[in-house]
Amino acid sequence: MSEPQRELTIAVLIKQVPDINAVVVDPTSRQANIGGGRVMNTYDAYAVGEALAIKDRFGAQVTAIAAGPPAARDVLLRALATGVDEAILIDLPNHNDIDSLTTARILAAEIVKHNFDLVLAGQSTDDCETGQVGPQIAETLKWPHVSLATHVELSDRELRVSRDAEASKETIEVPLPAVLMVLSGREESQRYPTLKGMMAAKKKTIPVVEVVEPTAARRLEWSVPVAIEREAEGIVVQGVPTDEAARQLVAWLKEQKLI
Amino acid sequence: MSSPIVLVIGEHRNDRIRPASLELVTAARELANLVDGEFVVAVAGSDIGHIASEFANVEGVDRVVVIEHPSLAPFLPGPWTGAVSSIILQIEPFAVLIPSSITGRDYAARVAARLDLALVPDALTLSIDEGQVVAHRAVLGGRVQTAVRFVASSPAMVTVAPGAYSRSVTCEHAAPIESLRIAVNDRDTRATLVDKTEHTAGAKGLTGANRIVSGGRGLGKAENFALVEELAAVLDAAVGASGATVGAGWRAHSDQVGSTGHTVSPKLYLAVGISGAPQHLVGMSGSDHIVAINRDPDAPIFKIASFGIVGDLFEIVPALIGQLKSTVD
Ligand SMILES: Cc1cc2nc3c(=O)[nH]c(=O)nc-3n(C[C@H](O)[C@H](O)[C@H](O)COP(=O)(O)OP(=O)(O)OC[C@H]3O[C@@H](n4cnc5c(N)ncnc54)[C@H](O)[C@@H]3O)c2cc1C
Repeated sequence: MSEPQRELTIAVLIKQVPDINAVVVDPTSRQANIGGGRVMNTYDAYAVGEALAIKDRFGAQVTAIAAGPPAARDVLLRALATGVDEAILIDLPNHNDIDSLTTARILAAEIVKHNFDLVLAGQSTDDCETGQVGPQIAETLKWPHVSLATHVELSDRELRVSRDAEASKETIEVPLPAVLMVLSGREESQRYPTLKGMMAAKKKTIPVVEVVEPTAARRLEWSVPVAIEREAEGIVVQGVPTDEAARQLVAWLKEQKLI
Repeated sequence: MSSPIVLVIGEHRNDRIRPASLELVTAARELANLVDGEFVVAVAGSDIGHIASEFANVEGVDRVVVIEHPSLAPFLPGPWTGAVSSIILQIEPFAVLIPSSITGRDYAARVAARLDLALVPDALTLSIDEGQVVAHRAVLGGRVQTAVRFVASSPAMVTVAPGAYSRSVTCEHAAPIESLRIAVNDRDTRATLVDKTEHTAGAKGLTGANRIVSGGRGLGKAENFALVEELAAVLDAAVGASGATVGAGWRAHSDQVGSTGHTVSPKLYLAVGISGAPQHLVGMSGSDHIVAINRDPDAPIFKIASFGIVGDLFEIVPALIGQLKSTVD
């Protein structure tokens, strides 16, 4: 006799990041001014959408987990407001000072406590762009992972994952438990918080998990990022009226014999 | 003590060496010279003897090792993690260079976790400072760069950004080739590739096109792609798309240009509302002429543009369409 199927449990991992579109480069220091705005990482929002789409179609309990400073609570609230069931904040104020493997191990330690079947993460982060945390969690847990996921089907605890690979579409089959890195958000799976959802989210308690800050010596050191100089010899038209800018471009296209 | 080894994991696809791996040869040779070291290329796969011989003929390669195992074709991160970890443990290199391709990054992260190593992705330059490897990489969407130093992690493990180094060429000499054996663990073979469909030249012949107009997230919503299509129509160009627009569901993946999309090199590439993230640039930086329209003067796309207009695309593109129409008529 087969065991009664227990409900699928999903963890969706979220990072709070600076609003990348608000980043400006200071002309004198050449450093990036990231401003005060913080948002949910783009691909993580897609992962939340995919987790909720799986919940709708197959039934699941979805928990959002963020590791970061206390302010990262905001992205968890947003996730709750769109339909995620529970949220956990891992207190990691200096989350950008540790390397991806350390972050992955901290998250993996939390994941094992809850016996999740499936972990969804974004393909990459808008700020650090390593894309390493997902596979490194999978490796730490000794689970398989599938990256670049765009769509998921589930039957008999086996996932069928569509992925956008290099100029191709692939379908991968993988048994649970597994880690998926979500690349895209189909319009129909995107969720936006409603006022009602926001009110309900505020009533939920978000447990804060304390972790022992890693004591191991830092393996990497990085310098303050600065903008690189322009390499191209190209022409840049700025601050001229629209028609004039368009006229200059058309003239240039002719000169280059492109039209 | 024997000399330090710089190890490259060579990549191949459809029975050919991938061009990015020839760039890694250049990077690795330079690094090996800085430490007076030896440079070894490892090639893994199934039935790849001829790929190994091709690598042995590339200038700068000191030695080639081959790892053959049926589980290594097709590409899946599990078996590749096992294979590459095993190669590293057997060769004991001072530095490991992996192509920053989609597949390379997929297993590199797992290998780093398995072997407890720090990994720096998308390195643009590699150097040695006080005996330590320093890698430069771009962050924040390519706007800025940081120098990352390996202080307490050996071997230094990096993936190297495509286009960062020039390609090495073939030469007369043939480096020695030897085989390594690996065992593949069951837990690394749980995922199976059940279907793969290559996009053909793209919906409207993207890869063979002479002119391409591509749209990005700056268009704001799917419907605004009409502007890009209209501009493409007057220029008789194919329409491409950035990853962000495909991710948001505005365009099909078969229209995408970049690391997970098509690599194109038209005579004219016109980028509208595209920031120029590294993953986009690798797919189009080989274009003869690059035109960018973007309202952010710091957008990385301007760094490679031959002609850029800083301004609002919703004003500039209609003006451009109008003027092009009157020119053509
Ligand atoms: C594993 C992986 C693979 C990827 N593969 C690819 C790939 O193959 N191809 C790809 O393109 N990306 C790919 N990406 C995504 C890539 O990292 C970027 O997120 C993406 O290229 C950004 O697209 P974008 O330039 O359209 O959007 P954004 O970076 O958001 O840029 C939008 C730009 O529009 C400008 N803008 C906004 N409004 C206006 C206006 N009114 N007028 C003028 N300009 C305006 C802004 O200044 C900004 O520069 C990949 C990412 C990952 C993690």
